[in-house]
Amino acid sequence: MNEADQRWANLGTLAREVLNEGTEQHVSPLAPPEFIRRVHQRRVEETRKAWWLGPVVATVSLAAGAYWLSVADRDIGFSAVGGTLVDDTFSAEASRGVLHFTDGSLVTLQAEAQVQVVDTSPEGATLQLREGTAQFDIEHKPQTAWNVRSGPFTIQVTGTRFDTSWSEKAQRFELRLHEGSVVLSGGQLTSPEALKPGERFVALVGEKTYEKSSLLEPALPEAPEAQQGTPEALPTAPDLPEGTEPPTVPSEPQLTSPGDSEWSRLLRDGKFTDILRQAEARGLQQCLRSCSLAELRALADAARYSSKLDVARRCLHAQRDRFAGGAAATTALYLLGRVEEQAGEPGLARQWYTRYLEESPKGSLAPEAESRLKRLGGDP
Amino acid sequence: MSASAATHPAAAPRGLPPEERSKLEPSDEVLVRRMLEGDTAAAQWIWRRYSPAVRSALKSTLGPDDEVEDLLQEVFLRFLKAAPRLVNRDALKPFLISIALRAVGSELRKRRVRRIVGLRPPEDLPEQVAPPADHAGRQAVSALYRVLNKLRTRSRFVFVLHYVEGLTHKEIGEIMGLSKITVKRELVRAGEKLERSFEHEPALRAYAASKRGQE
Repeated sequence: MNEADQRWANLGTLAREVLNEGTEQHVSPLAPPEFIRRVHQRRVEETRKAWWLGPVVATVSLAAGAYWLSVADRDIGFSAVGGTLVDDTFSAEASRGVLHFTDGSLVTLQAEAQVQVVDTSPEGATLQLREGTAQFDIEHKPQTAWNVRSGPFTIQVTGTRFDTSWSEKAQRFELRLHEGSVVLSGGQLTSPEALKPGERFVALVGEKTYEKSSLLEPALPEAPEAQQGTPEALPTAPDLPEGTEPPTVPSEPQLTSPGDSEWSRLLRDGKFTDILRQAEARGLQQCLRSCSLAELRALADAARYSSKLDVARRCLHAQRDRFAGGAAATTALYLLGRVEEQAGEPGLARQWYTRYLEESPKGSLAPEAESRLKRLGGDP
Repeated sequence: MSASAATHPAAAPRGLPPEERSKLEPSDEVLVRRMLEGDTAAAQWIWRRYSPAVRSALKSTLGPDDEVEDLLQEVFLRFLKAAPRLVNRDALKPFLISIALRAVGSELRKRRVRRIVGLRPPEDLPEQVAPPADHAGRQAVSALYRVLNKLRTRSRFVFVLHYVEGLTHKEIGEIMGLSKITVKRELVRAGEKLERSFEHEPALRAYAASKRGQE
């Protein structure tokens, strides 16, 4: 305990003593147990007279509570699954660890990775990736404000999914963006750099070089002397955004249309309503039957972010039906779980996460599915 | 329906030593369940078990005041109304204290309004009824609450729950729905504000500089 802490603790003890002087003189005019008895009996009688009020009041209260929780000006909280959480620093140690944030965001750390939660606010958090590789799945909200510091770089995040790694020894930074958009600054960048889904940014800080490339292209190599200790990169095949599915997935047709880039751009810009409007203009049913995979994904994301959960469900089911056997169909299972969580249906969410794990036990989203399942009270 | 705790079926037998009695006393979960089933004795048990802790939290968050007993009843009234919605029935104390904080928050808001419209002087802190055992200490506590009155309610609650009530960062976080980091940040803010107030609050400065304030 530092000096100031000790001083306030002593003052607190004094306050407790002073405030509790003469406690016995403060007696309620009605003896407390009697007061409690009267009030409780009155409530019991009222409940008997108007039994139907209970469910109505409970429903209204729950709705008000849910609304209050959704708008309350509270800092987001977090909890850890796997790994070790000491104060604000979470270490994954020998296996993966996941940080759950109360806004629904997830941070999955690979083995040996370490992240510090520097600050939290009602809109997001600031995290410092001290070492290793981590996957971020940040929930999109209108006022989302997340920052991730990794090495000398700062990643400004809205709703998005990306992996980043930092090796202190190799001074190597890598960012792989799968969904949404981020703005990168710091390091050798002279001005902030926006990244699009499917892009990778690699910087060798010691050598003052960096490169932005497609996730399908090979990355800038690691510094030779540091390759041995660098954590393994996260698998990304099922998470790749539009047009970037590896050609080794034959069962997943690569259908594209002029709308692909348009909807992805709108998604990146946060114009979810525009995507939904365009889909409705085409005819939602028609789109579900004929839109490309990339469009379906963009539409499902836009619908999720706009809380049009029924549309999101239909898109994800269409993704499963039309692209059965492929990575997109499996990913849709996980996303259906997310949609049901958003809808306040934990039972259904559990079923979707379980199905995802059955279909893809080693999939890139398996740690998240397992963690969410645990949090919802189901066995992974 | 039983009206007396002594005849309550879940009550521990009389004549046992206190530590043995406490082992046999009904859990919070049992008390809440029975209270919701209409057992008034269970409600009285809850009052006996937790009214001292709630009274203490009310006193320390509100400061020297004569309205604590009214607020204590208010808290239990709110509890009786809210009990059917209680999810974690084994965590009654944090639930009751969170209700107490809301009651104090609303009382503090009313007082601010009264001060603004001139119905209550800004430094109107009622005198303690008890004779002053430690005049300098009492002055320091009055000064402390004058400064706390200028803090935002969240900082005030966090400071008081930690330093006066002795709760940990984690416990405060659970009661107030805050992360541990935010609790720590609020404590730092409140401490800084108090340090800055030394200039205007000689009693607080004198206490901080005294042996007792530094021990």
